[in-house]
Amino acid sequence: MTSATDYKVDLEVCPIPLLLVAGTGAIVKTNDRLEALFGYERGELVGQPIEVLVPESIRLDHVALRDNFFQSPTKRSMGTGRDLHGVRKDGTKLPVEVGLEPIRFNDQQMIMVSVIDIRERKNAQATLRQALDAASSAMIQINADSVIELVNRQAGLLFGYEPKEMLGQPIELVIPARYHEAHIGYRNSYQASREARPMGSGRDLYGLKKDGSEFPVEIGLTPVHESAGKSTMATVIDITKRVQRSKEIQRKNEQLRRLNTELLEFAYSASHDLKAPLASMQGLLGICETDLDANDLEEVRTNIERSRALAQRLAGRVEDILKLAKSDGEVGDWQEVAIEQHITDAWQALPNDQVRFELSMQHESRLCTVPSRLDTILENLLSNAIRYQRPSEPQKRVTVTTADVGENLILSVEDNGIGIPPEHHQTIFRLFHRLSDGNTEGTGLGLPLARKNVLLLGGTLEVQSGNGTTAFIVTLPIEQPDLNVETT
Amino acid sequence: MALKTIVVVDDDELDRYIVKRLVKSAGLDVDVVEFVAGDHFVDVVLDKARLKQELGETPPPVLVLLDINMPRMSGLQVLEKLSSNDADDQIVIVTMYSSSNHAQDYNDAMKYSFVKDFIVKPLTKERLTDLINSLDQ
Repeated sequence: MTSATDYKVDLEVCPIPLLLVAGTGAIVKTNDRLEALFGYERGELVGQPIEVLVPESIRLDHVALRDNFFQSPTKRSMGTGRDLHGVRKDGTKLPVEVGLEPIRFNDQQMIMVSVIDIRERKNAQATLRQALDAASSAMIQINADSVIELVNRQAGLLFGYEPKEMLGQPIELVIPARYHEAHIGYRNSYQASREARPMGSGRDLYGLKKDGSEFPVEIGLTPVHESAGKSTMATVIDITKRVQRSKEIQRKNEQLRRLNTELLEFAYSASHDLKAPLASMQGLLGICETDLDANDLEEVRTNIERSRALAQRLAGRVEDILKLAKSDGEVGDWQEVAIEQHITDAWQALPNDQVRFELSMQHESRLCTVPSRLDTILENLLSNAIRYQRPSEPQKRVTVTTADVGENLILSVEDNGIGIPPEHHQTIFRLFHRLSDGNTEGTGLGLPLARKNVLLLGGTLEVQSGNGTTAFIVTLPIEQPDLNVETT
Repeated sequence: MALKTIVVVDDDELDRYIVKRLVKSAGLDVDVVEFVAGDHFVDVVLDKARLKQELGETPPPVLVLLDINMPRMSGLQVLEKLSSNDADDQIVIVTMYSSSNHAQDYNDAMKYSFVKDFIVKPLTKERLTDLINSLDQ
């Protein structure tokens, strides 16, 4: 029995496809399994160069690599980190894993080569890959050191990367920088417990895209035990739309709450201010009856005139209330306006005898706004400035000044009239609130109406009164603001 | 007890005129004293000298018709001022007198012990007579 026979027996006994290759690259021995794997007849490979089993594209390289390996042969697996393929006799490629073990045979240095068919494993991996890519959620698996080791197609799309760009990167790649430090702490506490759970309960989470933009996310964490150690699968869901919807609902709720409050206030005010002229008319008409019985026609005439004036006042109030109610609808179309023209037109439409008008345009920006709302604001502020003049003042004056402040236009309507004490600076914007005694022409709705329109345009309305002047200061954005504004 | 004075606190000139006319046509022998604002009224009530000057030596009872909806200081705020300054002793009888029959106003007003009635405008001769008769009892 020769030693060669011994080896033959040994190779055949081994359940793994094996071959023995000499320093020349020639195949010295094979076993049945190897020949079957590559589709050769028994003994057909012996004497052929090992390169017949290597894909043609790398055969030349392989010769060099093989020579190199024979210089200092060590036991190791071949082609670490690369996908290896063998070529069968019929030319088909076969995914394989290859082990190399130097041995001495017939006093020569040879290499024992073990070849493992990994088709099934590759198929299983491909199936898993397809399943991951078919998942509607973005999935990212990281190892115990938080290095990304698996990314599905959705995750790539979500973060704007090719999946392979993300592999091997720290998970901080997709986390906004301001959270990096905290995330390390959270990571460590997760690794201590390793339960499947949603991430960051009670915190708002954000993902970072390749282009630097951020978006709100929801993340589920599931521990995965890989052979290499403790990995974690993170399922990432983009909740931008959900967050937008919930903000929209919140905004609508606030709007409803505000409208409800306004309605209650309105019901209260209406019960006083709409009924007051009616009650007075009823009272006067009752007196008219008494006076008719007494034939005091002069007094009857006076009281009918008073009743008519009351009816007119009431009609004015109803008109203003309708304006106020209408102003709650759509804000209207924004367009560039010639503000000076709007101011002068508003002034000329008012009964302005005896009052000097000064206009000081100090702004340079172009104002984009809703013209009808601007007109309502101007009309109400200017008519107040005229109405509340001091009768004794010889030089009654109203001054309108404009100025630029940042992205806003400031419009101030100033008068030298009766003034407003500081304790009333807030209450004057309430419905029907009036400061002067008796029957002024005011309906108590002018300032609420002006203020509502200013707020709808995204601006503010303030009052300053003192040293003989009163100024209402309107601050308006010169462009249409992004968000719908609240008018509370 | 004989009522000598009716005080009307109302910013509305016509409503004060209506009260004066009704007092006259009901044939009541009382003085009508007018205040055009709640804050003016409170100023006078809290100043004993001015109170004597405005209302004369008339001892209580004095009937006050107090409007609710007035500029600066509402009738309800007047009640609070009177109550917190113990000035209600001087006035004794206050009747709220308002164009509103709003439940909230009614409840807010009637919680003061010196508020005896709540009249919704317009006041009529009959209502005024009933009110004065009920006070006499």
